[in-house]
Amino acid sequence: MRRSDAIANPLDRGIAIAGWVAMLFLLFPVLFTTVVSFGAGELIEFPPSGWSLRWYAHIGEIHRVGAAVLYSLLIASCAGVIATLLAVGIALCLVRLPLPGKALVGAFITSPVAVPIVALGIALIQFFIWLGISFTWYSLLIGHLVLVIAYPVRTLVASLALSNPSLEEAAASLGARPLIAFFTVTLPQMKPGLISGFLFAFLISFDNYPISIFLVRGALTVLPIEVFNYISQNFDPTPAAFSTLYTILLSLIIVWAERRWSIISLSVASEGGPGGKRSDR
Amino acid sequence: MASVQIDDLHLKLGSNPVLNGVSLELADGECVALLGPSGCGKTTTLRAVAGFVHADRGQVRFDGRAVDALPPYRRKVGLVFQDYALFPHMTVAENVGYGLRMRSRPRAEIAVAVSEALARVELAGFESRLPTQLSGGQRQRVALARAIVIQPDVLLLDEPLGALDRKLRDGMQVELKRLQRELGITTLIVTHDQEEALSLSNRVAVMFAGQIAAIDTPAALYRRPPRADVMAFLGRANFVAARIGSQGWRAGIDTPLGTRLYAQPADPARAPAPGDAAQLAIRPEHVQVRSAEPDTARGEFSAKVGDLIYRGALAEVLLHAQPPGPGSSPITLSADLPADGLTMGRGDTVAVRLPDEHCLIFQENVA
Repeated sequence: MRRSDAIANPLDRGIAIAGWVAMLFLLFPVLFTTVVSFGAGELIEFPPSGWSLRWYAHIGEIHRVGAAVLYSLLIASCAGVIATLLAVGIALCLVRLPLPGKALVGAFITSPVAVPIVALGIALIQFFIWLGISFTWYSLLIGHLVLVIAYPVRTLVASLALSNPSLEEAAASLGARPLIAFFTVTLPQMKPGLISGFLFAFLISFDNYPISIFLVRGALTVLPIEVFNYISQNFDPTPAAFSTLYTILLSLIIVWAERRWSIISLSVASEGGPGGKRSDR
Repeated sequence: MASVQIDDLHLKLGSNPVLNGVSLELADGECVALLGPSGCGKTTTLRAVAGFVHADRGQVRFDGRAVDALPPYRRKVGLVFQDYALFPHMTVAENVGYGLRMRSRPRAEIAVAVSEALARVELAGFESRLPTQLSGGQRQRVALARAIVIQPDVLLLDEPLGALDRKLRDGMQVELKRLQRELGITTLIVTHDQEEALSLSNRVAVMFAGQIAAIDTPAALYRRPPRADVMAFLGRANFVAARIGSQGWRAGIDTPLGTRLYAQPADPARAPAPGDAAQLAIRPEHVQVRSAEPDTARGEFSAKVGDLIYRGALAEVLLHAQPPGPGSSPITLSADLPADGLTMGRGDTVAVRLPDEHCLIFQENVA
């Protein structure tokens, strides 16, 4: 209803057109990569002179791709889970506790988003060398945690702010101890924030190159680094095939999560009342 | 069920006093409405009974047992929130059964109790709906069922009808009254809506600035409010400033309109002394108006009709009376007259009478 109203207004129509143009602009590299990945030639060419699926079969040729995928999955899963669990506590403190300097704490936790990632990487590697745990699995995990924690904190703060605090009081008046009230009432309200927070954290970690490049040496490796190494030595469409697969997989996960939990509406939902729009689905 | 004693509650938030010695007793099975303007501390009082607020001083007792040290989840309190606070991820049956699950009752017993409670609020068959699939009135009923199913010592209702529209509100009012009577449950209602307070409760406590200003049955409080501010808050009222004569109030009070009134002090314990300034108060429905020349022997005075405000069965007529004597400003009174057959119009001169038996004398001024 609101959408059709918006289209009727010439100014809004202009904004809508600008939005579509911007979206096409953003989508172009993805489309370009996808087209290139189906090319038959030995080198990247656009438009391709012939069509083939052979570069998809060639993905396995990327150096240490199996180990890199495993490591990346492991790091991203651990960073995602740990960051989300930590974020639950942080979000509860930020939203529910009468903490002095709350805004400052919130800004500090979400600051890795604003700091240039290269600067963050340099800081982390110096810190880990000082600690004596540089180039280990732990330092890589901690580095990724620092990088990703801002995302679950933000989504959980949003879902907590949307949930009705009197729900917990209602639970208490019905005889629920605080911990039980938290698990039966508060946590289910945070579910969209938990899911989307974890997904963001997982994907940011899985995708990350600039932090990992500082923290990875020797046997320790992650997928973006191996893909980049491959690109720097070869100019065939294998990375394009890889990227296309990755994009499709990612889109499927996000669409599925959105269908299941409306995670995107979390960031735009305005109805603060109990239930909001979520449970309509 | 239990009686509830609220004893001298004091609470300051920062330097701001919220409760200034609130004392209130609810007999077993009684329904008391706590009525007051927003910010008067009525919700804080309710939250203190529920255990969410801890008073700096004073006590809350259920059946004589102090409950101040008990957290909310150990008090047997049924609480209905203004926004209902239904758990959005649970069905109606899960919502209503929550309190029983917390008490680890057997499944079968919970199922029976839930369907009984839902039947009581006329929502049988809604067990598997989600709160978002219910109308406002239905949500309210679920919240009520959820609160009463645990058989609480006391039922607390926070603005129970505040979120409903007019028509639903009237229906729920009847429903709530029936439930309260059938269950015989001690109930404290917090509301800023005087109609809600008057219609639902056995007694109404009017609260101002963190204190109970007056408490009585709805009829008594409306007809003989002990304080001028209570009279002004509860319904509408006309106030006319006057001065007690040297013979005292029993000898009659000369009004500024040249008539003499034989009225009673609202609070017999605080009768005005001769020479005191006083306020004569009368409800608009008791002001008598007729289209005729005023008969001073009957205590009538003359007034000009101002605006007429149509209110359905009644019309509110604003009357402007000019006190005799130079430089005196006109006095405006409001009269509720039956709208049917009302012939007077704006600008007419009419005869007005304030019947003695409906006038009250207050000593204090009303802002």
